[in-house]
Amino acid sequence: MKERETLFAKKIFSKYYRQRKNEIKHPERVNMREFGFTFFGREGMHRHVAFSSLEEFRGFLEMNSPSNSMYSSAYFENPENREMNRKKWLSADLIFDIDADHLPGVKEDRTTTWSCRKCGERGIGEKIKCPSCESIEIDKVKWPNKESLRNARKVAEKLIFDFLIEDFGVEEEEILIKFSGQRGYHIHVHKEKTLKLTQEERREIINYLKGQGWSYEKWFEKREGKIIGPGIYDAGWRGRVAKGFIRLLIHAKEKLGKELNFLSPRKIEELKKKRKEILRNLSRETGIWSNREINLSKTQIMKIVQHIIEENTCQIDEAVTLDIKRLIRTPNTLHGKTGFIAKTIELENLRKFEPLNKAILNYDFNVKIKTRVIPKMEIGKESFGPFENEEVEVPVYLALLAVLKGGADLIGDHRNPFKDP
Amino acid sequence: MTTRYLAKYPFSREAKVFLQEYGGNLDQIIKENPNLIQTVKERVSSALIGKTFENQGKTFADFLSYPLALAVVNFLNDPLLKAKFAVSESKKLYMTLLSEVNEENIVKLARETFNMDLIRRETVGGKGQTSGVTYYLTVEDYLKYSKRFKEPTWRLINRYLRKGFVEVYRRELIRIICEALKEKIMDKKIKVNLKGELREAALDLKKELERFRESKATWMKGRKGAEGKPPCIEDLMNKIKRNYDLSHVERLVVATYLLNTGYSVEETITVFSSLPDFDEEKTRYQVEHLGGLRGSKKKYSAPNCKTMQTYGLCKRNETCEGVNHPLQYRYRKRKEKKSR
Ligand code: SF4
Ligand SMILES: [Zn+2]
Repeated sequence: MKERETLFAKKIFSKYYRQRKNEIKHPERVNMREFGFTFFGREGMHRHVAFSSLEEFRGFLEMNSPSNSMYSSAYFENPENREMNRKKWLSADLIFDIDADHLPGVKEDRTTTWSCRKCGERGIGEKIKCPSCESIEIDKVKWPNKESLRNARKVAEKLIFDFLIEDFGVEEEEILIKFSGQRGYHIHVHKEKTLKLTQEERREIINYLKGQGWSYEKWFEKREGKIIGPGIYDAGWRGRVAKGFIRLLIHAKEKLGKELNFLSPRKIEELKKKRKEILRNLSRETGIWSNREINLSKTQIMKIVQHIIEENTCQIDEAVTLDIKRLIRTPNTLHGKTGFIAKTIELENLRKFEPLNKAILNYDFNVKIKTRVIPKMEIGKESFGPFENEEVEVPVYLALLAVLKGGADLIGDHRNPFKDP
Repeated sequence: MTTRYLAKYPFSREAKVFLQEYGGNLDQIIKENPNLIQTVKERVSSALIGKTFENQGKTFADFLSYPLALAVVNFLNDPLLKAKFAVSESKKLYMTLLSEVNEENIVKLARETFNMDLIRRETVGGKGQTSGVTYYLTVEDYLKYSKRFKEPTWRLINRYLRKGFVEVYRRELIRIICEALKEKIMDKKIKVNLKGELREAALDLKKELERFRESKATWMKGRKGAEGKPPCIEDLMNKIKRNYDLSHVERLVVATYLLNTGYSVEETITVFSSLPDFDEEKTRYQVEHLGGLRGSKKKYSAPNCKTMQTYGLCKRNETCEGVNHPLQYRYRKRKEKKSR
C-alpha cells in the first residue's frame, strides 16, 4: 500500500475505535492474556503486550488503531514475559477455526484475482502460469464471497449445535462465536473444565469431530441372523449415523445411486423400496441394519457408515485447535486485510448472519478509486463489479477492502475522509 | 475407616486424612511395626522387577508400606524407578478393584480421591436385557485418563457421548481409576528427605536399581543384530550405555533403527530407560508412534546415510563401503559372511 492509502485506512480504523470501543467486551480475564498487534506502515508483529483491564486495552486501541489485534487463547501467569517458559501457561480456551478456504464447493475462479510479477499482466481467475509471459511468479488475491462464507457458517452451525452442545454438553453462554474478519468463523469455548485440556486431549476431540477411528466391531453385532447396530436415539456418532442414513434415504431419492455408488443398482432400488422398513428398523432402541428382508453385508454396512460419517464431519483447521499458545483475533476488532469487523455473533442470530452485510463499516459516504482487477462481489446488500482498470465511486467499506487487498488506489485527496461531504 | 480399607486403598483421600491425623512421627511408626521396613523394600523392589507386590492387604503395616514406599521412590527420584512403581501399584489396584464386592468403594475412589465427575445410574433390565449399573463420566475426565489407551473401544467415536458425559462400564471405570493412580504417582515432583532406617533401606534399593540397570546393559549387548550395527548406530548405543543425554534427533535415529531390525516396542523402550531424563510414558508414546502403533499407523524407517551426514551423525569407516542406508549395513555384512 502506498502512503496515501495507508493513511486512509488508518483514519478509518481510528474512527472505528474512537466511536465503538465500548463494543469491545473481550477477552474475558484480560490480565492473563498475551496480546500481539500489527500497525499500518510498520513491519512485523508487536507481541508480548499485556493489559491489566479491558479499559486499558480499549484505550490502547483508541490510541494506536492497530491494523490487526490478536490475543492468546491461553491464560498465562506472566503474559508479558518474552520467554514462553517464563510466561507460565495455566490453561487455554478451546478454539475452533472454520475457514471457507478449506471447504469444498465454491469455484475459486470467480473470487480470485491474479497478477504477474514479471510482466504486470493481471486478471480474474485462478492461474498457475501467466498466460502472456508464461512466468510462474504469480500473486494471488482471494476476495470474500457470500457462498463460501455461507458454507463456513453451516459448518459452524453443525459444530455448535450437533457437536458442542449436543455431544460435549457445552452451554450456550460458554461459547463465543465470531466472524474471523475474512474467510470464516472462530468458535471459542471457555467452559471451566475444558480449559485444562492438554494438547493430546484436544487431539482426541479433533479426531472425534473428524469422525476418525470408528470400529465396526464396536458398533455392530450379529444376533440371530440379524446385524444389530446404531439406532436413531443413540448418543454421539452412532445416533448421528443412523439418522444420517434415514435422511439419505428420504432426501437423496434419485441421487441415492450416486451417493452410494459402491452399491449395485439393484441394491439401491431395494433400499429405496424398503425405506419405510429401514426407518422402522432404525427407530428402535437398537437399530436393525440387516435381516431377512433387507439384507446388507458387513462390507456394505461399513461403506455406508463411512460415507455418512464423511458427510457429517466438521471441517475445522486442526492446527488452530491443537495449538494451545496461539494468538487469535480479538473479537470486534478490525481485520487489516479487509477492514471487516471480527464481529461476535449471538447464537440465536447465527443462522441468518451475513458478514458481508453485518460486519462491514458502513459510513455514509462514497470514495473514488482507480481499480486494478476486482471480481464481482455482493457486499452491503449491493452488487459491484467486476472492475478492471476503472475509475469508480464506491461505498467506503468497498474502497477500504479494495485498498487493503491491493486491488485499487485512491483518486483525489483522502487524507481525511471524514471531512468529505 | 477400617484398617482393611486403608490397606486396600492406601492412596485414597481417607488414607491421606488418616495419615495427617495420625501424626508424622515416622520413628514411632517404624518402631511399632517391626516388619514395616522389610515390607517397604519388598514393595519397591518387586515394582522394579515388574512383579506385582503381593500382600494380604489387611494389616496396618500393609497400609503404611505404601506411603513409605512412595517416599522412598520420591527420595531416590529416579524416573525409571518411579515409572515402574507407578505401573506396579496401578496393576495391583486393578486386581483389588476387580474383586471389590462393595461397589460403593469404587465410586467413592473415583469421586473423592481422583475428583472425577461421575454419575451412577442403575438400569432396570427390560426384555432380554440384564439390569446393572452404568456410569457416566464427564468427557474431560474421560479424555484425561483414556487418551493413552490404544484399543479402539476407547476412542471417543466408539462411545456413547451425550451432553458432556461418556458412558463407561464397571471394568472400564476401574481401568480409568488405575490410570489416574498411575498419573498421580508420576506427576508428583516433590523433594523428599529421609533419615534413619528408611534412608538405609532407600540406599539399599538404590544399589538394587543400579544392578538392574547393569543387567539390562549386558542383556542389550547380547541382543540380536548386535554385531551387525553400523558405526553410526554403534556410537549412539555406546552413548546410551554411558548414560549420556541424547538429542531428539539422536533418539529418533536409534528408535527407528531398532524398530526396523527386529526390536519390539517394549525392548526399544528398555534401551532408552537408562537415559537421564527417561520418561516411560513419553518414550512409550513416541516409540509406539514410530513403530506404527499410533496415529498414522505407518511404521517409520530410519534416515538414510545422506541425512545422517547432514545431522552430523555419520561415523563412516571402511565397513560402510557401498552402504547408503544404515539399515542396509546388516545385509551387506551377512552377505559378506556367506561369501567368505
Ligand atoms: S555411512 Fe551410513 S551406515 Fe555408515 S556410518 Fe555413515 S550413516 Fe552409518
Ligand atoms: Zn506475465
